[in-house]
Amino acid sequence: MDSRDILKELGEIRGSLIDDADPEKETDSAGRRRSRFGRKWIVRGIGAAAAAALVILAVRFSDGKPPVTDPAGASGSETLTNEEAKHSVPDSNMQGEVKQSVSNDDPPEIIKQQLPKGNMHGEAELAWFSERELLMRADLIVRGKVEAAETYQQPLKGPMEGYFQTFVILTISVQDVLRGDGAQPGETIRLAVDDLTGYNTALMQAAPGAEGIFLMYETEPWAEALKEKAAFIAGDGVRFAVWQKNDSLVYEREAFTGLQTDWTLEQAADYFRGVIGDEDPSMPEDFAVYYEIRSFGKNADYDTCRIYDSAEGTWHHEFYRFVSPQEVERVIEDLSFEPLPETLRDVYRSYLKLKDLPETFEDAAEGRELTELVLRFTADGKVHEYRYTSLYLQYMGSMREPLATMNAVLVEITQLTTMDRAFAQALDDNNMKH
Amino acid sequence: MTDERMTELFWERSESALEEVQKHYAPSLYSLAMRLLNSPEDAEEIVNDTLLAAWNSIPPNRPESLKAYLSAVCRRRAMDRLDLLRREKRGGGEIPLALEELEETLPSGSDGRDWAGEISLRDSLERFADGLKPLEQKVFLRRYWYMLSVEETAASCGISPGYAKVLLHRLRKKLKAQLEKEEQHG
Repeated sequence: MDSRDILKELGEIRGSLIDDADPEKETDSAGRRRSRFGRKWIVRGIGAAAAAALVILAVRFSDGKPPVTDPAGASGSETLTNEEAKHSVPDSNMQGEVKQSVSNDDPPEIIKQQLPKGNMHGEAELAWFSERELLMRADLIVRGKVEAAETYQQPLKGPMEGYFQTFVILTISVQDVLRGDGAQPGETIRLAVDDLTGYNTALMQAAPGAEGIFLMYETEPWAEALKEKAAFIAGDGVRFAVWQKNDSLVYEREAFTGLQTDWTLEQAADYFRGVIGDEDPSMPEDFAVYYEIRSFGKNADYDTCRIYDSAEGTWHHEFYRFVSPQEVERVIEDLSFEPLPETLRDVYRSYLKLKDLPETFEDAAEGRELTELVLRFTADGKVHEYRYTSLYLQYMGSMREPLATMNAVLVEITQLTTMDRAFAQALDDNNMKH
Repeated sequence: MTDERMTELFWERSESALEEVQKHYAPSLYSLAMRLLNSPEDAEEIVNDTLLAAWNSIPPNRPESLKAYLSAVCRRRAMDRLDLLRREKRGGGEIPLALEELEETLPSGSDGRDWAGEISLRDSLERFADGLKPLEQKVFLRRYWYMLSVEETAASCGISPGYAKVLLHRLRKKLKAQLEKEEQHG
């Protein structure tokens, strides 16, 4: 058999199938582009880098041992995954609102990589983390049944000498908490993470049954604090997440004014709106954003790639995540969804901050992890593109201009678009509706 | 004029059947043949062949959907013509690309061997198409039966070309999995 046989025999299938697929009899309902719905308030409320929505990561280890990474040893082939578009999420509260739906009917196909066992505290084994998110801050606020089972710390080297990276292993999975299995009735679970890679990884893992490891980087060791049931970590540069559960929104920003445990959704949304800015820029109708971010590590097996195209409605993401102490899987995800107008508007605000920045920037450092960025905007019929290559993009963004500005804007834009897709996914997966 | 009436005209051996079919369906048949052959002269010949084949086969056939029947005949004849053209190194249209894409669906180790005995490939493909969701069905058949380009397929289904490509890739993988499974179990 060859492909010609397939093409030929396809011609002999039942007439009704051919009839139904006839392009000339396209009806309005079939021809209409899939519509995209969204939880407007969430996107409005969490529209900037300062307000990052987030996710829990938890790991259960059957043998109680910590995970091991071995960049040098990891190898494997990639499998392209395809996730089909949508199933809608009915939401009785959203009268007249647009509902968001992202389909995830088939789980991504993944290749799991067996990693050699060993001590995860070894600096060589963890080297590929050590250069990431150097100035990121993470606040993890864990309540209820979510407990920190184990924590591990590793002193960092190089520019981050004197800092620590900490692995936190939690006892309960994201989905357990979101489904309420891990919480007492009436209890509100709030989780906040300010860590781009962890955030993205966490969001991608926020699917039923997902488990993983959350990595945080802190300026001070806080392992002891995590061993408390209600662990709380303070830090400056707080970013926070809100998640709606039990019809109430709880939002915390310890570094500023202390715990706020009784905010309603509207109050939190107002706060976020203030962070973003009240003014609504007049976004051009043809505004679109395309970005392509590629990170190249010392070991090619850890390269990551993210491509987002708002005009095409496509999302492509290649990344790694832990599935067990000794297994890292490479996941390739392709999605199609239409961005919410709110998301695009927020991205447009971010875009406006890029004026006066050079369109190209290169600061490559051999032998280290690099990020290459193509960021392209369409507005009023014009296309504006930035191309940056830097060791420090997304990592040490605040250290120098123009990288600091580009980095901050990039974080905003990627978080906005990631949240747009991830929230829809998580809401769908968890049946989060009122 | 309805399909049923046109079919009756064939049965009555009335030559107005051909006139009506030409009026109603010749343009679509021509478009289909062009997508396959990429040659106006060959496409026109195929359409004429199709009408003649319809005259010679109705009766005894009484197709449920005259258009689908004519389209299938047209497609079959165009594929046969394409074999001839390829030997003469002519023509092609969307076929070369479609054939390349469908290579992905071949069960591993097919190597041109004859396929499993009792299960016909046609039946298998029909089962495959039956098992698809409506959008998947449209996308798959418009690409590989109607031979629309990926862009045309996407536009006709109201989806982006990027998404159409992703969907087609997924469907080809799904078809491959089905063919492999059926080949193993017979």
